[in-house]
Amino acid sequence: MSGLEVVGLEKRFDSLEVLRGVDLAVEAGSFAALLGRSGSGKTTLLRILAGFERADRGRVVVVGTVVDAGAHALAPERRRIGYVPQEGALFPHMTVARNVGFGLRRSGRAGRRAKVAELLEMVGLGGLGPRYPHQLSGGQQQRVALARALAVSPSVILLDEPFSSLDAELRASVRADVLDVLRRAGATTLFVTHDQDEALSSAEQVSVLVDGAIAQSATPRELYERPASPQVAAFLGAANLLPGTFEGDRVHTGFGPLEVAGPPGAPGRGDAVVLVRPEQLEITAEDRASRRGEVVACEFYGHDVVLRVRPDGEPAAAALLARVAGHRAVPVGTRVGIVALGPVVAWGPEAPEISPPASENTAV
Amino acid sequence: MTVASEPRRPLRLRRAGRGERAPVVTSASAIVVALLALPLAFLVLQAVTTGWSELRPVLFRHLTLSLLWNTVRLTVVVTALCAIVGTLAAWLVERTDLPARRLWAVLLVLPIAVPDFVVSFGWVQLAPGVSGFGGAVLVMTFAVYPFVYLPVAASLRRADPAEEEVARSLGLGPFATFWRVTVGQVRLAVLGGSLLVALVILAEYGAFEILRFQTFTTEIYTEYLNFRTSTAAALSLVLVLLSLVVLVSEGASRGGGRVERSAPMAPRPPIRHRLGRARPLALLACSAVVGLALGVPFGEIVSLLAHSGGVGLPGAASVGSALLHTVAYGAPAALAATVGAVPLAVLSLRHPGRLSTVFEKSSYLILGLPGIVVALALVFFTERYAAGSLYQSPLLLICAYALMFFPLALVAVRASLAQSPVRLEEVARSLGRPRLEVLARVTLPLVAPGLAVGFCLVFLEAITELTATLVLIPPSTETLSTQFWAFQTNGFDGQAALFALVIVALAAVPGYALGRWFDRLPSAVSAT
Repeated sequence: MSGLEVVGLEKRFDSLEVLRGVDLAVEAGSFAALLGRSGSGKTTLLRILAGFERADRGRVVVVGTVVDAGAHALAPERRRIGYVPQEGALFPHMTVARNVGFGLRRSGRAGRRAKVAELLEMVGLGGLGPRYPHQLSGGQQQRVALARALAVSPSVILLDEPFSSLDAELRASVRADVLDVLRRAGATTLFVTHDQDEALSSAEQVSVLVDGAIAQSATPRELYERPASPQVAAFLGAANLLPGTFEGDRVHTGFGPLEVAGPPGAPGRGDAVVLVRPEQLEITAEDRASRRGEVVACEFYGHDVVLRVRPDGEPAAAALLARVAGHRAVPVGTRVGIVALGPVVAWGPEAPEISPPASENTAV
Repeated sequence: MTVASEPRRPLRLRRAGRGERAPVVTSASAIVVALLALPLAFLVLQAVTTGWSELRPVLFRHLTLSLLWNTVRLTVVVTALCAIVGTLAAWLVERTDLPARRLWAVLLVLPIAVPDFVVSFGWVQLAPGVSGFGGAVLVMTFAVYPFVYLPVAASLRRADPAEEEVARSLGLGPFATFWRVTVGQVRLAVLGGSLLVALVILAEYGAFEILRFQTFTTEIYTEYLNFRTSTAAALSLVLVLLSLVVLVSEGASRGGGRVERSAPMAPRPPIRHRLGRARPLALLACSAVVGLALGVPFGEIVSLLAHSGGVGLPGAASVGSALLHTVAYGAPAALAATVGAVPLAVLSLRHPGRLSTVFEKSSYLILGLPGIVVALALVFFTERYAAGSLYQSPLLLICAYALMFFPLALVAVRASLAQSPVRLEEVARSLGRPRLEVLARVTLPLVAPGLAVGFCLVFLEAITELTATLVLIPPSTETLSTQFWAFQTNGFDGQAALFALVIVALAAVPGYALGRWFDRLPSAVSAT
């Protein structure tokens, strides 16, 4: 059974159409990410799920119970959906213990105290109960907010960009802790992020929200290797999108014929848009490749290097991204050979429109 | 799996409107607004029973025109002066390196605790020439500018200092930055404070009576005193129209922009401009304001007392019981007004819509009505529907105070609620707690400073109220202000001064608290 199911959700604010028929299903007990650029409608979607906003049309189902049917909706306090907002939003006038115990019904003081202690232990903050929120670090606040949401045993937990306010250093460790707690609690979790690395590295399922609709829902690996559209591909990391022509189970590009790995149902003939990830481009000595070009930019990231290479006879805007190991950095202006390593993903012309140039989505 | 372990109650999906409905808050607000509308209903009823043919000669006589001229020019001039004095004083305290700024923060608020009639009493004692329009402008400006100072100081402290920094980095000089950025940040606070000032001036009686300056309110009081109730009602309706004009022009000048800072509230300390060589000038200006607003009335009271024998005066015997009654009527009224302000503030900020706007705006009107109108309206309705059993009962007087000064409580509670993040309430509800419980456990504790400020403001005004008190005070009891008035009108200035001193002493406590709380307000309610 689905822990969370969203069908045809629509929402507009005055003349602005924010959600245009969102369909989404999260397996009970799994950890799913909702990935979208800022302005894609992901926070609105989360607020509708939590019950703070009403959908105009569509349905939200939590473990078999309809909680929002467009015209009719259940109040947030009756949905059993836990919500952890961006900055944690702890009640500043309550201690950590009272924050965590806030949602617990009056089941006897002793029982409540034991439950609170157990939850704090679970998030690794045992003994911090008497502190006030302002005495905690950002990561600790985040974990208290999580314990507070888990206290009422919600059917679903929503996390709104939970790690974006933390320093990069703290981020990874808090994320690991939170994930661990959620797995042990067996909660169905949906977390919103605009960071594709975060979504790909931690979620079991990633749904990409583009312009108010889900462009694709899949496992991280499938999403990265078989994106449903050039747009999704560009969003999930740096991408070279090249023109090509289908020819049976191959596609012809400037690099010659390459094997097509997906998505399924490629037409077998006609024009194609071909995805070549930067790590699929190999930079060689000039005379060892049929395609040659000049390095026009070099972005050094330490562990690896992203080179921008303009193939001979192409305009500067058509420069290709190639990722090579850090120690193989090449000075700008060097003449190099370029080799593409298949298999690649290619779409026919009926695939959704090509997204903005790959350079906009350059990522580490 | 963490699915509900307890048996689930049948779930009802509620019908969704544009926003979420709030039946409890809406109906509580409706009751408060209905109570606030009683004086208006009373005036309209009286005017209708009198009939247009009788009202017309009253409204279109020469006196009405001169009252209108007096009232309008006084309101405009004093409101403008208060806006300037209050804003500049707040800027000096909050945004410059003015020496002893914590002391000034309290001293500049304290005039709010000195009743207007005490200020004018002090001035008339000092310089009998202070009277008429000039005198009224002088006295009222320094008596009521704290209504502008308080909100402006609070919003200056909240404003994001980065905005000023950005302006400077874009090439604006300090003065251009002040005009185009700082003034913009506090514009709404200045407007809100000016609204209160204008309404308070429209309703002021005691100070103008002492200064012998005629406004609608003094004339209305005289008409009622001579039992010309229909004339008084007609004049009061004109006054209501003036209040409406004030409200509408304030609303119109608000404009569409938002002034709240978008960044999360972790305010950096504000930029403090170095006064440099202007420092003596700034100190002089602050001293002048405090001296004119506090020093003159206070000095005169003390010297009067010293000359006339002070506490040995015969009136001194009643000070204790008058003080007791003053507090006994003022405190419950302040409490009632503050409690009543909560649903209206919640409705207007958490459930915005046409209804809540109408509710909120209309509740300010009563501040511009003379106390005697509110008192007589309550007498009228209780005689009609409670067989007069409440007439001159403490309950009715307390109700009158609570209604008259309700807008002050609303302003304070609303300002505080506007800063309390909605997100905390949302989280609380998603934890399964119903709305009213969230209000009690999350919202109210967070707006506690605003509730305290609202209580103090209403209490301060209630203990100095005069005309409604004279009508509604229970037989054979006295309050400080009625005693002051009785001695003052009969020429016993020494004994009047004694009561003035006690009033000021009593008012200084919440006045001081206001100065201190406002100083801390943003940090007390900052959250997340």
